[in-house]
Amino acid sequence: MGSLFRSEAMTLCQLFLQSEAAYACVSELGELGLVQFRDLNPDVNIFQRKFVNEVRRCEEMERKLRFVYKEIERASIPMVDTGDIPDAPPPREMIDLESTFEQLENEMKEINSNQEALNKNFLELTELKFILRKTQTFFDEVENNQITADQPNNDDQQALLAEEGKTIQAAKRLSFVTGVIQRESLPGFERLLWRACRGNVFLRTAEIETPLEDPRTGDSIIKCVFIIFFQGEQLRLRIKKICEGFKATLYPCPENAAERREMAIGVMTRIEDLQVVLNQTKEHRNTVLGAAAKNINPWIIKVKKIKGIYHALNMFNLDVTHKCLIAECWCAVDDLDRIHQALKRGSEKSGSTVPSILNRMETKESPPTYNITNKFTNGFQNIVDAYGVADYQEVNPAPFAIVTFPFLFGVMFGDSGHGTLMFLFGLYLVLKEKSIAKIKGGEMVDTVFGGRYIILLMGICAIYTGTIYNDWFSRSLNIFGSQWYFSNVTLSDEFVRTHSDIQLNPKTAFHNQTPYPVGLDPIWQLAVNKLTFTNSFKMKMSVILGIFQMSFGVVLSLLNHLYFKRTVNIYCEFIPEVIFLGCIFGYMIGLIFFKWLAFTCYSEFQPSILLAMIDMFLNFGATIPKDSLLYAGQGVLQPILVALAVVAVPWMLLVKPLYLRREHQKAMAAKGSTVRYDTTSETAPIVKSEEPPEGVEHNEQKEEPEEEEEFDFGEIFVHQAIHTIEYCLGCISNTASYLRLWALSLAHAELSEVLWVMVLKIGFSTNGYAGFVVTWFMFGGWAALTIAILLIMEGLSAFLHALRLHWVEFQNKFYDGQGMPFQPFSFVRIMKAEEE
Amino acid sequence: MVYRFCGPKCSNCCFVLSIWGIVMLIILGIFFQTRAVTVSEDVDEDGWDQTATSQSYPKISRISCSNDCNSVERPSPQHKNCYIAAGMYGFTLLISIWQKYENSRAAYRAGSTSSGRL
Amino acid sequence: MSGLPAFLGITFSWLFIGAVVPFLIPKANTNRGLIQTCVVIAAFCGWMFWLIVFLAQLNPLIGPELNNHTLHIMIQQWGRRDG
Repeated sequence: MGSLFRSEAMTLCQLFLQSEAAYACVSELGELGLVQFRDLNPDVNIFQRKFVNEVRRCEEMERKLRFVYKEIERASIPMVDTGDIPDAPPPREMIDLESTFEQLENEMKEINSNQEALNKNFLELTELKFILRKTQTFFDEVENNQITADQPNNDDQQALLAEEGKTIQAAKRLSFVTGVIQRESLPGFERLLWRACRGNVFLRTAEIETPLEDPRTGDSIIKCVFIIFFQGEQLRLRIKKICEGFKATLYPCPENAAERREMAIGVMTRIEDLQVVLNQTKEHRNTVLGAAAKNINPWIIKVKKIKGIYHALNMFNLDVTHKCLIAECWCAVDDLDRIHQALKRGSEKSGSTVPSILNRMETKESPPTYNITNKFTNGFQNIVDAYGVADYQEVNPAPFAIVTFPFLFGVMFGDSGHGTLMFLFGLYLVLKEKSIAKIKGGEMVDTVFGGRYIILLMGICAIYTGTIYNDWFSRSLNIFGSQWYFSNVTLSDEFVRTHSDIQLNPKTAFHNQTPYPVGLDPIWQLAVNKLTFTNSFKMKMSVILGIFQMSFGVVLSLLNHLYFKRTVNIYCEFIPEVIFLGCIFGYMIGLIFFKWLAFTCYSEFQPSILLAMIDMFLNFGATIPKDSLLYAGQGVLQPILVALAVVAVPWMLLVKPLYLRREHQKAMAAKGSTVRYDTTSETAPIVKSEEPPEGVEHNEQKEEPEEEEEFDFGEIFVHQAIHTIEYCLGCISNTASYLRLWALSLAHAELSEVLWVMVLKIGFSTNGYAGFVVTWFMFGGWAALTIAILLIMEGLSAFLHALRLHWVEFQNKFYDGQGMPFQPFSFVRIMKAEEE
Repeated sequence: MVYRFCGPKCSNCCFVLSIWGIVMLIILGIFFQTRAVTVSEDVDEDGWDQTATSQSYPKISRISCSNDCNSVERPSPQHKNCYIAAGMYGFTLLISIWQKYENSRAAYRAGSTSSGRL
Repeated sequence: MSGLPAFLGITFSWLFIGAVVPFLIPKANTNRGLIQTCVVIAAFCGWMFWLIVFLAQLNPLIGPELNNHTLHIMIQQWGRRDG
């Protein structure tokens, strides 16, 4: 069978790399992505490793690149992403890169600080400009008021105005302070000013209409110009302090109008000059960033690769002569040739004269699990791996799940209409996979996209099961013609008129052995007692499918026992398991099929299978009454089957531990006798096994756990007892668990029926002109609800239940799932991990 | 720009819904027209009462009607409603295609301006 | 009329898919074993599922109960048979 059936054969290899060639070789291996390095210095601190300096330099380069990247993004310069991935540069190029980045960063920093200073200057000048402009209006008002005050007036109101004019006139003699403050802090500023100066100041404000730019962050801010009139030096100090507290900037403003005008002209010219300089700086900055933007993506990739290589090199051992590095790695046996070639290329590239050496090593450690998947099988492998990664070379459930998973989903989701929608959605994802893969959606989108082939197959299976259930959006299609007929004799017009809710009699309305050829007869969809019929058959169907799947799981456990040469397990586990499952549950589905074939509406009695199964255990050996007898000889066969099943339990429980103990005792006896020959002392073997001679040093094999098989009968027995109980009870509870197939398909069918009747039918039963509008509208609502409730919600629930049936009911018959995943050193993986 | 009132998501959604609506409503319309048993539960029960017999039901040409072939044909609006509603979905389909076109043009324009800034 | 032709027809078509199609997959295909497994399992599942529904209806013990409205349309549409 295909490669997915068992994980790849792996081997542990030792690599001898010349110091000067090590970098190039590891770089080639990283491009290949087929070896997983083992950390040979797990005790050494990260900061004490050989290449820690290089790693640190890479991190420094990454920091600089991140800085430049952010600057480019802020300037919204498009980055060139050609998609091609550069090779890891040779180590000497690292210095070039470092200096390039250093230069770039310094330049950027300088430009930024220059620009910030210029911007600050610019902001100050603009603020001053606005102050001069706004205060001008205040002063103008004062002068106007003076004119009005001079005119003679009679009115009280006029007098009041004049009063005000006088105060401002007075203000003119007072001193004043002008400045700019953020609009948000203005109310607080005003209140504090009033309280602190006890109302002895006069504040006027005006908003600057054009938003200003913060020189540091580049955000736009809205500010206000203010002018404060006051009297006395003490107040001035107080006001200045308040201004400082509110981060208001104060600007000098001449009292004289002519001076003000002159100053304004000066400010304007300076602003213009500054504008020119600012534009030049910006242009310069953009050219520098534009040049960097062209190279930034290759640079980032290069640095990541260098860093990855040094990380890998840090896991290596230095040999005694310091001339070569020693690495240990896991790799697939089939890939050894390609790895050899990569090493050769690496050595050639570095110009090393001594070739790198790859040695296969023997080990007792369990290798990592490596399943080669493609884009189609990947989704299914992920489903299995989510439960647990397979042990090394254990039977992998993924290739079987490719069919059984969508099939069980379809059994629960059986509706050809909904299946078609799901199939089309899956098909769209598959056909457009190249363009969709580029879109960076959220986690949700990635999950759905990753499972596109699963969705496609689930859609196909739902169409098939829906056709068999004869459900099309909860309506039945009468393709082959119903096999039920209406007889002229028993269903005359007269009879129909005088009776309501007529139940057809199979004797007069059906010819036996002529069922509807494909799927459920469409008449059932319209029958009042539809559920009575479908529940009965769906329940039986669930049990049959479940027992088939469980038996298949038991058969797969046989393949594991054969492959790993665990003969004991075949005789002491597999055979009693088959007997137990077959005698009870196999017999039950046998009875189900038998009853379907042998019993008709003409039969004298219609015994229940359920009662037969219960009586089989409770009335063990009793004679079966005639009305519940399914077949002749039932009374003889059933006790035999029960006896076999009962015998299988202690067989499973006891034989294996006892056998192992005997084998162990035999081995001990043999060992003991040989040892006794040598030493003539009875205590010697015990001493030998417990305390190894001191002369033996733990050198390289230190990290490998010593395989000293301790025989513990108690532990083995407890383990076997757990296995037996789990299996026997599991068979019962798992069979019951498969009834979820029935429950979910029932729920799905009922829900879609309810939706049709409650929503779409309203449209059809509206008469008159409104009819088509209501139909149009109701169809839209029905379609939306169908997608939201039936496709997404029900689909998700059916998916999860199918998942559970595979993980628990199917896989616990044979799957250990305690393995370690193979994680090769690969640049592609490193870059993917960084992206996430 | 003025004529774009549906975003890309909205227009795609309408597009799919319209196609589905057209296909499904035409199928249902055919079912209603041929008085298919499939949709018998969706036919109004008003015209049917216990005393009346098959005469009150519209006759279907391909079925041999043994009792009375001159029965009065009752209008059945369901199939007409379905066809008209399908036509309305055809109209929304056209609108969504037009909006999709406008959206793609707007996206193209946005793309060209951003690349022009290079 | 009997259900035998339908039974044989569908059983043999699934049998064809499950027993002949696996051998038609080109040997050059690296995933041949995997495809064969999938096809065989799919054929078995599909056949078994159809068979269950087919057998469940082979000898019905109860008949459908219909309300008069539905029954009437059915008689109209499907007609009556003698006997």
